[in-house]
Amino acid sequence: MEKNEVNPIWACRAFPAFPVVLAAVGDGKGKNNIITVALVHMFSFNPPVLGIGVSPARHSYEMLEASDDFSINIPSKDLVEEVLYCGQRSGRDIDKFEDCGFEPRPGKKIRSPVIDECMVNLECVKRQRVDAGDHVWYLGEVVHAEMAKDADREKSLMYWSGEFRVLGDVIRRR
Amino acid sequence: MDDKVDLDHMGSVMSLPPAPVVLVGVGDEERNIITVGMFNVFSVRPPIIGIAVTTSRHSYKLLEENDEFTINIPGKELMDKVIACGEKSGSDTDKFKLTGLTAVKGKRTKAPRIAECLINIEVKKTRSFEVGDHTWYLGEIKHTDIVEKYDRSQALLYWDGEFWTAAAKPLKVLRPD
Repeated sequence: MEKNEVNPIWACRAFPAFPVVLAAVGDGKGKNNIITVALVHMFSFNPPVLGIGVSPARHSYEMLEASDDFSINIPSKDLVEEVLYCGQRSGRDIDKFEDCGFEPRPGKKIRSPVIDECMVNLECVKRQRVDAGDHVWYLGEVVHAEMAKDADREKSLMYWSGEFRVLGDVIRRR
Repeated sequence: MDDKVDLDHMGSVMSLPPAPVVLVGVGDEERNIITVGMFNVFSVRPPIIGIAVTTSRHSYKLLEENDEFTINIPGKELMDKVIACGEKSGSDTDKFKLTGLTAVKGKRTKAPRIAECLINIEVKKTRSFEVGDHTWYLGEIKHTDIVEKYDRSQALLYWDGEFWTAAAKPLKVLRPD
């Protein structure tokens, strides 16, 4: 295949799309925040560990540093405007739960809240912290999870390089 | 939503949306291809990308022994080869031979690139760490080649036994940052 050299940052922007999730963190005293995260992945299957990457410049970083846990909430594509809002605003000045009309439901096994309106709520307890360049990664073990009965992978929302996408073709079903 | 059910933890993480699946080229004299779904961008500036393999796999040995690897983004037409490289072990199979994929010498690393993929990224390993049953390898990008008419909706996504592509048209586009 004919190819051109590109610089490394441009190369990173070329990846197809990553899952985008809403991470929620709370101090247990009523101060909650939501952060939109596209730097998210499974880190281990056994035990199940999920990681999120957060820029230290963000308000959520301070809250995540202080908290022992966080929740990862998987939004459907219907929530694209809320996902964008939570990604572009700082929780320093606003209450994103209130502004988005989200209900902060207490976690069953963690202090941080979960976002009821998302299809899946994963409660994670911080296990490891990894510094990598301009992001700090928090790896959390999933200690409790709930999923909407009508949750559907086809409603997934993805993001990368300034674009929200939904799934296209299924190439192979399991 | 009132209608939620408690899930076992594994079932819950399988409900994540699909993510990019990549072919990793590694090795020099003994070289191989590893299918990796555990892949992510860790930092944008500087660009740091990472992959993970099960600590028990043969690929683990190759990644431990080599300082460099390549990340190659396959198009959807390569799905069968992606599956073959994920199911076979490099301990008894040369997956370049098995799949007919072409190894091309890296421009700035020794690791083999895969000619048939849409993007070839050469990575220098900088660190590794263990998380549960996986070992993660992070590295910095040394060189990248990309096809001229790259379309991100041609690249394969994978999760939970299913292969997908991303939709050809974005749902929403942000102002360039």
